[in-house]
Amino acid sequence: MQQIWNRMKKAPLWISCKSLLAAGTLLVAGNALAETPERIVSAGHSVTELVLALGAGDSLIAVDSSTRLPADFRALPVVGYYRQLPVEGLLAQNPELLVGGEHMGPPNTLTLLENSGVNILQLPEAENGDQLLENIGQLAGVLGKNADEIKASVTGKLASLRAARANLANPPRILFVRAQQGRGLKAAGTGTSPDSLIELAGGVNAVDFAGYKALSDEALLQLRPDWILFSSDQAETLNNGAALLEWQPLLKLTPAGKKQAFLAVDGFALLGGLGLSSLDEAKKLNEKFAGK
Amino acid sequence: MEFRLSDKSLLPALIALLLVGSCVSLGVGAIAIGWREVLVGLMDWSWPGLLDSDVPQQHALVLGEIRLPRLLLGLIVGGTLGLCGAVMQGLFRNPLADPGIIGVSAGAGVGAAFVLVFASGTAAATLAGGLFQQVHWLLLPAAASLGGAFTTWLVYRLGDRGKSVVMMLLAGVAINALAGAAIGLLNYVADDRALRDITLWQMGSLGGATWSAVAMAAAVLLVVAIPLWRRAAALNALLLGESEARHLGVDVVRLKRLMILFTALAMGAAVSVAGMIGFIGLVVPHTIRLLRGPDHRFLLPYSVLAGGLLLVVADTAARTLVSPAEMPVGILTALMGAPFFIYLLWQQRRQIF
Repeated sequence: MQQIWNRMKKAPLWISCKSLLAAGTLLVAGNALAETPERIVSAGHSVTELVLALGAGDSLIAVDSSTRLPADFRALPVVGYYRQLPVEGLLAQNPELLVGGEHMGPPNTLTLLENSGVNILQLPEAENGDQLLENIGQLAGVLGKNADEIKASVTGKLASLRAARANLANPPRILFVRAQQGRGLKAAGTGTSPDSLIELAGGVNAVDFAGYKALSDEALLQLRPDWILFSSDQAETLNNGAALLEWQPLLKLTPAGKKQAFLAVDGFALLGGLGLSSLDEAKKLNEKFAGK
Repeated sequence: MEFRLSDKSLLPALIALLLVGSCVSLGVGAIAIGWREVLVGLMDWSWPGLLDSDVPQQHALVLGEIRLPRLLLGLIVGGTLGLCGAVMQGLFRNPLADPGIIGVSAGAGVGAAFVLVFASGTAAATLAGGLFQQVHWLLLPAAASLGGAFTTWLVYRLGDRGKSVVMMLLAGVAINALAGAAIGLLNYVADDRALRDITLWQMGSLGGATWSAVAMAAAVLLVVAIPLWRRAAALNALLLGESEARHLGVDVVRLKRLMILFTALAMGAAVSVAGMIGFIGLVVPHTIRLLRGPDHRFLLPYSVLAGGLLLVVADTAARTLVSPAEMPVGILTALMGAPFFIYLLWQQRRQIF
C-alpha cells in the first residue's frame, strides 16, 4: 500500500517533467511527431508482443493475466483477465494508454477509463497476415513508433510462408485438439486461432464446423488427419501425443496415429488471433509438414 | 438458542456496522485515497465547485463513478438477496430454502445465459432491427426473472406446496441439475465470446456497477420490499401452517403467488446486474432469526440491511485481496456460505429424516 501511495504522490510531477521534455523535443525537432505515451497497459498476449516489438517496452507499466512476458523482462503488475478488467486496479497504475484486442472489456470499464482520460486502442483479432500488418500500423501510430522494420520483417515472413505453402505438394489434413482424460477430444474448427495458424502453415483443417466442438469416435476416423496438433500447455500431460493414443485408441487407425505425427503448438501463439509468434510457429509447422 | 436481541440493540448495531462497512468500502481500493480526500472528493463530485477542493479530478471520478455506485449496488443486491432468502424461508417454512440451493438462481442463470448466447451477438441485433436495440438492456433482467419465476413455481409444486422439505430439497437438486444441463447445452452452442461471458457472469461480480444498474436494482428492491413487508403479519401466520393461516383470514393462495412472483422478480434483477452470488440469502435471514427471532416484521427489513452489509464486506475483500486485479465476489460468498449450509444441515439432520 505504502509503495503505491508513494508512487501516486510522485506520479503527477514525474509525468509533467516527461511531457515538458516531450514538448521540448517537439519544438527542437519541429515536426508533427505523435506524442509518445509514457505509461502503457497492454491486455492480451499478442498485443503485448506487438508493443514490445515496436520498442515501447520501456513504457509498459502493467499487463493482463493472459500475457506472458519474455523471461528477461522486468516484473510488471498484472491487472486481471483482459475480458474482466477492474477499473480501479487499472487507474491505480495511472496509465495514459490501454491497448488490447477487440474483446477487451467489460464495456463499462472501458467507458469509465475513457472518461478519466485514458486513451484506449482496441485492435481487431487478426485472422490473416494483412490484418496483422494493419494492426501493426495502427498500433505504431498510437505509440508514436516507426513500424517499417517490423512490417518489413512480417511481410518477409508472410512471403516465405506463401512460398513454402506453394511448395507443399499435397496440403496435409490437420486436426487441432484439446484433450481431457476420459472426456474425449475437442477439435478447433473455423473461426478459431488454430484454424488461422493451420491455414498459414499450409495445412487444411480436418474439421469444418465453427468453434471448438467435441468429436465423436466415428467422426474421428472419417477425418483422416495427417497431423494432430495440441497446445504446448498440454504437451506434458499428453506425453507429447503418446497419451492421446492411450486415451483414444481409434486414433491409431488415422494416418497421424500410424506415423505418430503429433506436434505441440506454443499456446501463447494461439491467443487473441494471429500475432508475431504465430508466424514463427506457422513456419515451424510448415517445415514439419514438408519434412515428412 | 434462546438468546434474543431487542430492537434497541440490534437496529443501531446493524446501522452502525453498515456505516462503518460503507466507509471502509469507500476508503479502500487499488488507488490509495486518504480519508479526508474521500470526503472532500465525494462532495466535489456531487456538487462541483461547492468547495475549493484540491482533490485530483481522477480521485473524484474514482469515488463518484466507481466506488460509490459499486457500494450502493452491493448494498442493494445484498439486501435483495437477504430479503428473497427470508421470504423464501417463510414460504417454504424451512431455513434451508436459499434461492441458490433450491435452484431459483440457476433458473435465472439459464434465462440470462440464453440471452448472452442468442441475443447479444451483432447478428441478432441487426436481425431484429431498431426496436431490439431499444429493449436490449431489458432483455437480460427479463429473461433472468422469467427463469427464476418458473423454477420457483416448479420447486414449490414438486415440494408438495412447500410441505415436504425433503421433496423440496430433492426438487432443488433436480432443477439445479437440469439448469446445469441447459447451461451446458448453451455452452456447447455458444461461440468463444459468449462462452467466456457466461463463465465470468456465473462467478458473480459487482464490477459492472453503473448508475443505471444501481437505479434499476434500487427500483426493483423498493417495488418488491414494501408490499412484502406490509404482508409480514400474513407471513407470520403462514409460519403456523397453511390451514391455520387460512383460518386467521389470510388469502394463502394469493399470498404465495405474490411471494413467488416478487422473489423471482427481485432475484432476476439481482442476478442480471451482479451474476450469481450465492448463500447470502441463506446465511443472512438465518442469522437474523437467531438474533431477533422469526417475526417477519423485523426479519424482512433486518435481512435487507444485513444482506447489504455482508455483500459490501465480501466485495471490499474481493476488490482488495488480489489488487490490482479483482476476484469474483460470488466465489468469496460461496466460500463463506457453503460451510454454513453444511452446519445447518448437520443441525437439522434429525428433523429432516
